[in-house]
Amino acid sequence: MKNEIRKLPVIVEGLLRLLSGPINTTPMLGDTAEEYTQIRSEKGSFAANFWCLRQILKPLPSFFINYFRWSMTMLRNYLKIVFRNIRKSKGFSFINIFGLSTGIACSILIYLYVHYELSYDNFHKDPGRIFRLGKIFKANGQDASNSVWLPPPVAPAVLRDYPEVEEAVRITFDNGFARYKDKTYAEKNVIVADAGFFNIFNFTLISGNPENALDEPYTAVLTKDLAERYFEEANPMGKTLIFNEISYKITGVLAQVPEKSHLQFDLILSLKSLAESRRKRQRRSLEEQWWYHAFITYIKTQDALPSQELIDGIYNISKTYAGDQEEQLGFEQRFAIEPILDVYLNSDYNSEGYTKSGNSTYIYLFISTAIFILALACINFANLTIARSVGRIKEVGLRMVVGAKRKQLAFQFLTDAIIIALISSILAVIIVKFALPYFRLLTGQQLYLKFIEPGSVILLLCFTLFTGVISGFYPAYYLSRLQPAESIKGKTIPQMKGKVFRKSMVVFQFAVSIILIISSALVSQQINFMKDSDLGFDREQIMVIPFEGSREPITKNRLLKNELTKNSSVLSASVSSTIPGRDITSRIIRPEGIPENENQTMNILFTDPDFLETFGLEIAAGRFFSDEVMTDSSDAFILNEEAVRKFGWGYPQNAIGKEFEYARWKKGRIIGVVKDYHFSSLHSKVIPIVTQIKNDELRYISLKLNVKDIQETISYIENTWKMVLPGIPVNYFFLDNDFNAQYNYEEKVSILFDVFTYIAIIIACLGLFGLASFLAEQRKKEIGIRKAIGATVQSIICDFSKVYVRWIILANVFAWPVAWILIEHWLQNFAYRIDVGLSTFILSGLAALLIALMTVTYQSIRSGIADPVNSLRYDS
Amino acid sequence: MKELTKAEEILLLTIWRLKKDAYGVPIKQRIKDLTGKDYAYGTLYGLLEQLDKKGYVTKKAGEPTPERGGRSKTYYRLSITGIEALKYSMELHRVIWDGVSDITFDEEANR
Repeated sequence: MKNEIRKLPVIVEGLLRLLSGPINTTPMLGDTAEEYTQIRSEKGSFAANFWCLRQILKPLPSFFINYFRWSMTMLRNYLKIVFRNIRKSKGFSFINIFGLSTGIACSILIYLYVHYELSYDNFHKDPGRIFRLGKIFKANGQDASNSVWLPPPVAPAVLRDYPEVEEAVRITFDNGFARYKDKTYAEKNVIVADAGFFNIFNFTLISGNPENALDEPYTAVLTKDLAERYFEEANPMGKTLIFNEISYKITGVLAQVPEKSHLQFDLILSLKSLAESRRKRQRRSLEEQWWYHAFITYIKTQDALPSQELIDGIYNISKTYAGDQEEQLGFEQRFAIEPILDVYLNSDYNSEGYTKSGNSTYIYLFISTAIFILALACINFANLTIARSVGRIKEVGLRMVVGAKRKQLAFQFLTDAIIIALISSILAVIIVKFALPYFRLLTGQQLYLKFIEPGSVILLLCFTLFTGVISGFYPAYYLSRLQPAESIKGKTIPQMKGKVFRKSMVVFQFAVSIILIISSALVSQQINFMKDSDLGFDREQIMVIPFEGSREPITKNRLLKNELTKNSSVLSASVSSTIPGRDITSRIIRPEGIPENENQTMNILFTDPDFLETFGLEIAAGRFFSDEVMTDSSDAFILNEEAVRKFGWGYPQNAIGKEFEYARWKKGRIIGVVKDYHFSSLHSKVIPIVTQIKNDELRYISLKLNVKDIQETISYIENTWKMVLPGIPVNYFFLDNDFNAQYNYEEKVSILFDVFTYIAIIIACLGLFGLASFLAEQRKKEIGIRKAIGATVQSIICDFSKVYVRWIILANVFAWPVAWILIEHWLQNFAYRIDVGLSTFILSGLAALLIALMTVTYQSIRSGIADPVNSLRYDS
Repeated sequence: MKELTKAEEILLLTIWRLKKDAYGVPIKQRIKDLTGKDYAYGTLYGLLEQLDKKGYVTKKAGEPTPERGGRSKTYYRLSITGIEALKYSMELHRVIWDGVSDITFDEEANR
């Protein structure tokens, strides 16, 4: 043991080597080993190892100080070179910095957008413990629909049966007229909520007690803005607001509802009031009505992971409490929970536009667009740096001769890229600052840049570093590989490899641009298709006035119709329970020839005989309602073709005269079938609809106009309305706008997408321009010689452009299949969609070719018309 | 002539005293014995490297030994410049310490 020779621990050796810098480490390691052996033999291995540790730790501080000092010195040199290079080649630097800053700016904007979309509903306390219930509804074993509309007994039953559920509330929506003294306004965003509403949701109450604000029947909580509208300066607490002819006591005032809430409302009524008035009317409490699908239900659990028992219990709750009814009707309703944080973007349940919802597809779309744009800018940087490296080869060679190692050179070029990225980032922030108002307008989101937060600054810095490293990586690798002797002599043998890389990068850039052009073209084609395609009804020149609040318009609808149609500009008028583009109610019915317990739910529309003419529907079989036939208003029904198919009756003619049971087993008779029309947007298939005359539940009057003077007609309509229904405000809209509003989201996205496509094209073109000017410079002599022996300007331009044409064609080859797959995927969102034709692809490819050629034309013409004398005079 | 720093002075003097045996381990040991300063090898070689760069010492590769893991020693010797620098330093010391036999806290002067 005594004189045994022991090697230094490997780690110690490695660390000593690492820390000792550029000096020769052999004698030092030898000394260390010698003393180590000595100490080991005298004091044992522990003391020796401890000694080793001290050997490493002691010089650390001075090591860092030294290292830093030298790095700073070199960095200063690098910085100097970078700025010199920027100044020396302004064009290239502009392309680099402009491209990168645009790319970074786009990334920041998209980051803001995505961050906003992902942070919906996270302002509530413990959002992970809040869930929304969804309904999976089956009629006769077939999936009918997934929706958020639940029957009212679910929430109380869940709360009662499962102690792990802290709170369960129901919400439903309402609209109508609110009145205080002489002020009457239409209120659209009204919700009716259970007393526990504020136990789940953190909407801030300015005054009032969140614990019991909605405990009593006929109480209401309203937002500050709304309170100011009705009560002005006065304290609204305890005042009485009349909503749809029922008085509510104000028990709380809310701060504004955050934008990032999927629930949007101005006024909350206590659900007990609704329960009360419904009980009076129907003599049945809400808790018994298992087939009244009108309530969104939220629960808050004690834990973010609900137990399997709870999940199963909720799933089967209707079977447990209303199993006999399910069997009797042939229906099945099952319930599932989904986290509230998923409600906005990833909900599986349809809320028919009553709550805000986004689309996660677009999130992915935007993130990939941002990545692509940034990639294009990085590629520009890499390409141009390598292309220009010819000019820097001597610099590199000299550095090598003076003793720069490969690592140091690579580091220099990386620093170069990172500095450019830093400059671009600062510019990008400025660009974002100016672009943000427009971007806000486009997205309709309250986006803000928050650079006071250290988090976002660090994020941006990391991002900049990342961008710099990505774009500087290849040039650094490439340039540090050069051989000093060759570089000094100006040999450019390694150029060959660089060319392949450059070419493939340009091809990639154009492939991305072509994908973007094709996609945005097809997206707008689809949107135009949806907006212009024949819906089966006439949506032009139809004015719609909703009946809201009081029952007066319904009772006076005949008088109203008569008065309005007296004007020659109003061709016809029809009242109905709903209009195309709005939601439609459904009823349980049982068509003829179907067993007792196999009822079906069917969309039902209540209207009058003028509906056909007003909306321009076409009859497929039988006849439409008529005022002359008395029985039409009691038991006559009209189907659409889809409903006939759903009932399994085949041809429309077969349906005439058939009967079905409806509403508590009354019998109805089918007198006609109308051709299919799109009641809802083209996202979904044509729905089956049953139409009936009913002088009740009417909510809209629609006027078919033939307008010469729109102002005059509108004022006539308004005056007539005031005459027939004094005191009730008139809020009209036009059907085409209202219907097309269903595509607002797609349109917004499409515009954003277009903008980003333009940006991508510009960046790609800038890169190509830079590359072309570089190549033109390189071929100057060759072109001079060609011209000297008689080449024409045209032939040179041709020759010059040929290269690029080949590149773009190659880019097309790559881009088309990718674009096709992407767009096919997107189009699956729509039940009615365009056919993807080859023409768009060809046109987009040609457009890209044209753009590319235009970009290089300047350079090719310049080199084409250049006087060969100038390029050949000096032989340098 | 450029003045030596204290560390350089100590190091050069140690090398001079060690004569032919001046390589890492004894240098470090001697410094520790004389002044109580226990340099780490990393620091020591940093200083030696600087002395070499300034031309005060010359290096010579020595023999490898098994306990060194087969690595050769590097012997240091003073160069002419090194000797002269040390001489100058000695002279300087002599001059500035001349006539000082003991240093006490002079209460009169500090009043």
